[in-house]
Amino acid sequence: MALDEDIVVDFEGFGYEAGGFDFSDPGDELHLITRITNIVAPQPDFPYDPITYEYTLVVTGLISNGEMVDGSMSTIVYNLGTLAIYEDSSFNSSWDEYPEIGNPPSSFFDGTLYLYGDFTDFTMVLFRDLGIGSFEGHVSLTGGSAMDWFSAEGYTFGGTLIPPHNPGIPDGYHLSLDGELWVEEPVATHESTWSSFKALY
Amino acid sequence: MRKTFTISILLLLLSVSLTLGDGVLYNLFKEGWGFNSGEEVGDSWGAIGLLKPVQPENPPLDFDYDNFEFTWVLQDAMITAVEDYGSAMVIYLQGGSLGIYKDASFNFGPGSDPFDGIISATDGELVLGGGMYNAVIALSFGTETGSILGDIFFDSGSRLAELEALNVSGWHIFDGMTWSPEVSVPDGYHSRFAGRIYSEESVATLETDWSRIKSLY
Repeated sequence: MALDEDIVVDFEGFGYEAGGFDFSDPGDELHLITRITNIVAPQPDFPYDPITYEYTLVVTGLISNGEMVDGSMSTIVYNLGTLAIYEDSSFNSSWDEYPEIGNPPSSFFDGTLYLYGDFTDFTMVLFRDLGIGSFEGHVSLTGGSAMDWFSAEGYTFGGTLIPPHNPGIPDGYHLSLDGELWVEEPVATHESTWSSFKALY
Repeated sequence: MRKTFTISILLLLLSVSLTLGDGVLYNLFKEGWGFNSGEEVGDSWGAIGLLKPVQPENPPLDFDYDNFEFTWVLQDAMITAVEDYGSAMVIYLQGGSLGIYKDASFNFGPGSDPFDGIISATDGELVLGGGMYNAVIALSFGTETGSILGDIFFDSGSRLAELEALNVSGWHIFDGMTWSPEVSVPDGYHSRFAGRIYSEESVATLETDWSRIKSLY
C-alpha cells in the first residue's frame, strides 16, 4: 500500500468504558470520542474543509471480551463496534459534556454523517504500570456523505495514555488517545478496472 | 506569622492553578516514522516527521503551515534497558534530542534511509530544540503496535521565548506506532508514528494566578 494512494485521517481525543477502566470486564462497552485534527488525501478535490467544518470521529459499541494479563501487558479484544465521522459547521464539540455509555456527548454526533462503518476487529494493549498503550483495528466502511471517496476497508491504530498520566483527561473519561485511520482511495481500483476493460478490445 | 500566611496563600493559589489547569493542553500534532539501530542496550532510536495544523490553532505555537513546512526530528536516544516478555517488549531510553524546524522548501521526505530523512527534516530554521528524558517504548508484537512517551525540556530555538509562561520543562512527546503492512513505512524505518508534543500547563492559568499573587501586595 503506497502512501500516495491512501487517505490518512488523524484524530485525538478521549475514551471511557462502562464501569471504569481500571480493569476491563467482559461485556464492558468502550467509547472513543475524538476530533479529527487533519486529513491527508491524494485527490486535490477531496471533500475536507476544516475552516468551514469541524470533523469528529466517534467509536461506540465496542464490547470487551475481558482483560487478559500477561506479565506487565494487558490485552483487551473487543467485539462489534461502529466508527462514525461527522462534519459539522457549528464547531460545538466539547469534552466538558459529561459522557455516559447510554448518553454519549451529543456535540460530537451532530452535523452530517460523513463516513461510517462497523469494526471487524479491535484490540487494545495496555502497559498499566507505565500508563501507556496502543490499539489497532479494522473497519468495514459502508456509508456516509463522503463514502464514494473511500474504499470499503480501513485500518486504524494509535496510542493511549492512561493513569498515572493524565494529559487533561476530562471528567467522565478514562483514557487519552492519538490515532490514525488509513483508507485506500478507490480511484486506483477504478483506473485498474478501466485499463483491464480496454485491454479486452 | 506573615510568612506562614503568605505560604498558605501561595499553596492555595497553587491548588487553584492545578485545578484550573486541568483539561488545558498545548498540542503539536504530528506524524512520522521511527527508526532504530536495533533493540538491545546501546542501540539508538529516533524518528522524523511532519507537524500538522490543528483546527482550531492552539496558541502560543501557531505556525504558518501555508508558507512553511514544520518538521520534527528525534535522534540519538540510547537504549539503557530492555524487558523482553516474548509477545511484548519494554524499552527504556536515555538522552536524545528533539528539534522542530521551519522550512519554506517543502522538501521533507523519508529519503532512501533515515540518514537522508534527517537531512531533509533538519534544513531550515530551528524553531524549538531540547533534550528528551525518561522515555519509554512499549511494543506489542501480536498487534504490531506500540507507543512511546518521554519528557522534553526545550532550551533553544527561534520561538523558545514564545512559550512564555509555559514551563519549558513541562512538555512531553507521545506517539502511537505501528509496523503493520497496512500502513506505509518507508524502507529503513521501523514504524509509523502518530501522536503529539504536548504540555499540560496553561498560560492563562499561570498569568491569572500571578495577577492574583501580585494583587495581594
